[in-house]
Parts: sequence; C-alpha cells; structure tokens
Amino acid sequence: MDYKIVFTGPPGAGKTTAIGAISDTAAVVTDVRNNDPDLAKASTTVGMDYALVALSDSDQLRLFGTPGQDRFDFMWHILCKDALGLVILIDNSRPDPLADLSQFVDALVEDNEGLACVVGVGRSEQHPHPDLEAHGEVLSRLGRVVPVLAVDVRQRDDVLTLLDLVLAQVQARLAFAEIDSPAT
Amino acid sequence: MPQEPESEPSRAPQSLSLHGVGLAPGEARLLELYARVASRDAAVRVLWRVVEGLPADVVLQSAEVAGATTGAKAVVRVGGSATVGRGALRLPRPFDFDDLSGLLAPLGEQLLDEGASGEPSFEDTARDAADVTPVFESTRTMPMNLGAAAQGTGSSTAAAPPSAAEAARARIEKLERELERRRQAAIERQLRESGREDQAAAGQAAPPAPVVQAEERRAGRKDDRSPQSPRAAAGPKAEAHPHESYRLKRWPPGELLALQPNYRRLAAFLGAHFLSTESLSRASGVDLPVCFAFIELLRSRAMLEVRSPDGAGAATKGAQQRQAASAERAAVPAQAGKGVVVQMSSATSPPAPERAAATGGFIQRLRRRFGLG
Repeated sequence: MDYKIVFTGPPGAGKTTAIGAISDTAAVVTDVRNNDPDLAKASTTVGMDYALVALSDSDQLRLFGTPGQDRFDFMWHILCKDALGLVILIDNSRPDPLADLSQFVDALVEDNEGLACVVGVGRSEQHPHPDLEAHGEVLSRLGRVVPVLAVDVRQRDDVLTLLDLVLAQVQARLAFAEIDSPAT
Repeated sequence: MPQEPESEPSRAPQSLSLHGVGLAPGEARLLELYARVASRDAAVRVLWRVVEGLPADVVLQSAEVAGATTGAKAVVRVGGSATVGRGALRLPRPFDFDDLSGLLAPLGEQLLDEGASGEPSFEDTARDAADVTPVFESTRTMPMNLGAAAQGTGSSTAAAPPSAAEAARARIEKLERELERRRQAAIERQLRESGREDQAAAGQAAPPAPVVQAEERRAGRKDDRSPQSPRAAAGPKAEAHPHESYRLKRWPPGELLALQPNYRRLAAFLGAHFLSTESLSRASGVDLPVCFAFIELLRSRAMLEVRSPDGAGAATKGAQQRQAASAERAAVPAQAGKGVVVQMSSATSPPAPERAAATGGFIQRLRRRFGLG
C-alpha cells in the first residue's frame, strides 16, 4: 500500500531537511540556486521534494515536500491530494510567522476537513516570539485542534515526533470509525 | 582526561513530594511521587527501590529520571490495577494517602523519618466548578534526607555506588527494561481480567455485581445520589459514565503534556475525534489508567468537550460551532476548482472497513519501523 505525508511551510522552514531526516534514501530534490534576495539560503525548492520510506515491497510511505513560495501554491493542493497527513513547518525567525501559518492553514487545512495535521515551529529558541500559544490561537480560530510544538528538524527525533502525532490523529479517526460503524 | 564530577550531592535540595489525583477526598486513583535528590545516580536508586517495593495490585504507569549535574528528579506514577468489562472502566483500588507509607516501603521508613523536618504539610483541595468535574487533589511535600539512598548505603537492593556516567546509563537501561516488562505484565493481566468479565457477561447469568460497580451505578443516578457520599459529591466522572466520549477544546500547554511521556500522543488522539477512555486506550496502546488520569487532568482544567451517548449536555459552544462549520462544508460541493480530494477527509463518512484495516495495519508497521510505540 502507498500512503503519503506532505511537508509544507514557507521557504527555509526545513521541509527538505525534515524529509531527509527520516527517509530511507536521499530525497529527490528540485532545488535551484536561490535568486530571491529575501531568502537567506543558497538554494530553494521549486518543484517538490520526494523521498521514500519502504516498509516492504508492497508497503511504502511517500514523503513529499512542497515548494515554499506562494507562487507555487497550486503544487500544495496537488501534493495534498490523498495525503495521510500534513506537516506544516513554520520558521519563527521570519518576519511574520503567524501570517505564514495562517496562509498554509487557510490554503490547506481548512479545505481538507479531517486531514491529520501537525505544526512544527522551528528556530523558536532563538526567536521565542510569537510563542506556541500564539500559534495555537491561529489554529483555534478555525475550530481545529492541531498539535503545535517547537522542533528542530535537524533532529531526527523531533521529526519523528511530528510523524507520531500525525499517525495518532489518523488512528483516532480509524478508532472513531470503528466505534461508529456498528451504529450506522 | 579527567571526568567531571557527576553531581554535587551536598548542595542539591532533597525533597519528596507526593501528588495524588482522585475522585473524592480521602482517595487517590493516581499517585505521583517526585523525589528530588542530589544526583541522577541517586534518582535511579530511588526509582529502583520504589519499583521493587510496589504491591502486586499497583500498576506502574511510568518512572523517569530527569536532571543531571545540579540535582535530579525521580518521578514514579502508579495507579490501581484497572479492569475493563463491557465498556465499564473501574479502578478498583483507590489509595488513601495514609497508605503511602506502605507504597513507599522500598524507600524505607527511615528515609521519611530521618528527613522529615516536623510534620509534612498537607494541602487538600476539592475543585468544583459548574463545567468541571470535581477532582480531588492532594499534595504532600516534605524535605527529606535521601543520603542513604544517594550514597547507596542502608539498602539491600541498591547497586554498588558507581559515579561514572557509564554505570548510571547502564542502570537506567536496566531499569527501563524492567519497567517495560512490568508494563507488559500489567497489560496482560488487565486483558485477562477483561476477558473473564466479558465471558461472564456473555453468559446472561446476571453475575453478582461487584460492590464497586454497584456503587458507581448509584453514583451515576442523580436521584439516588446522597449529598453526604464522597462519590456522589465527586459528581459526574469518567468512571461513572464509561460511555462518555471526550475531545479536546484546544491543544494543551506544553508543561501539562510534559507531565507524562504519553500525554502528547494522547492529546493528538483526543484532538482528532471524540473518544471514550477505553477507546483512547485501545487505539493509542497506552495503559487505561494513564488515559484515565489524562482525561481527568484535562477535565479538571476544562479543556475537554464531553459527549454522552444520548447527546445530552454534550455540545459546548465550541463544539456547536465546529459541528455547524462541518455541516456547512459538507453541504458545499467538494473542492470544485481546486481538485483536492482527501482520502480520509470526513468524520461523518468513515472509511470502508477494509481500507481502514489496511491503513491501521500500515500505521502499526510504520510505528514499529520508527520505534514510535
């Protein structure tokens, strides 16, 4: 069976790094040299990142990373189609992290009722504001309870925690369906 | 290269704090023991001594050691052995705080006697609010001298007193293995008990109801509730309403989730859907008493929406808004123009059973692969 989890977020949030932290193989990246003076990085993703976690010949988890720039937002929707879950990575060092979060939540989460979703806030140690509570407020405006936690995507355990929370939400949905099905 | 000293025992504060959460004054269903000691090594020894001395009917929830060079903390959480039968959750053994000396026997009475300066202080509070289940909490904090434990003396069970980090790590790993073994044993015991109860119930023979269950049934019926009864005074609770389900109103603060290693995962479950305590335990693989304690904790902080089977008294304003929003979205033709189709997108249309089973199996394999519980 094939399932996929999508990593999204603004440029520089660490999507490519996060995928690389848990994938079996080197991620296929579509990075090009960065010409955007607003981005302090040498290269940036313009297509998508892709990597695989193979559990067996027939079981695999596909990991996709979206390009961060909003001019590629059509890609976000394509990649989220049939996704098992969505990981939104936010870079707290950017000028307006809450606006970044709103943008991705509005674009993806609100349209995908029930899609398992988790928010990882990066660089929050050096940039503690806005705090996690403020990020949570953005999400609660939508009436969604989405896990929000500080992460360092260079740490594999942090990325696994994000994955764990996505899987937990899917399992909750399965448990709910199991409970409901006899009555329906 | 010389090794840095692991700790400075003489400077670190040493205290023992016991925190209990229960449903009525005088009883505790979950106990947390915090021993603040001089070093990580000492904390490991304290854990060993507590764990080894636990009575057979006490389920160990978790045991952790935190901290390092400036003093360490040993945290042990225990609860009553839980049984599940026909959807009813009960924790048959409440703990009176006076039982604590027994619970702490492995630590040694002398530790309490030697270290306590005067009488321990007590702070009992019964929380009560209109929309919050009253939960009794009691905390005892007492300064104590854990010198004997910290130095490895006066204990037949303590290991040799190594100071190197390697030895401490080895001991922690051994402890973790032992904890896992005990946890598995507790789960198996619960499953066996659950199976026996289910078999009895299937026999239609109306077995005599245990006293605890009968009391709970009475407590669940408002008309019969005696205002003098501690149970009745405790008000509606998960135990008396095993068919209630819960959902988070908002993501809990980090410090609350840090209380127990499984709390964050449990919160993710409860954030996604309404689940009963038992369903939560089954779906998450986390022991029932831990789930019970977590739900009680969230209820005490008014962070849960509660839904009863008949829908009575369930929907809070937030829930109503969410339901309305869901209904609105469901009424809109799906995602025209954006082409987004989410495979498992709607709580109201559960996935086909085969697909759900396959997805569940896949997730289990994925969890095993990454060591995610």
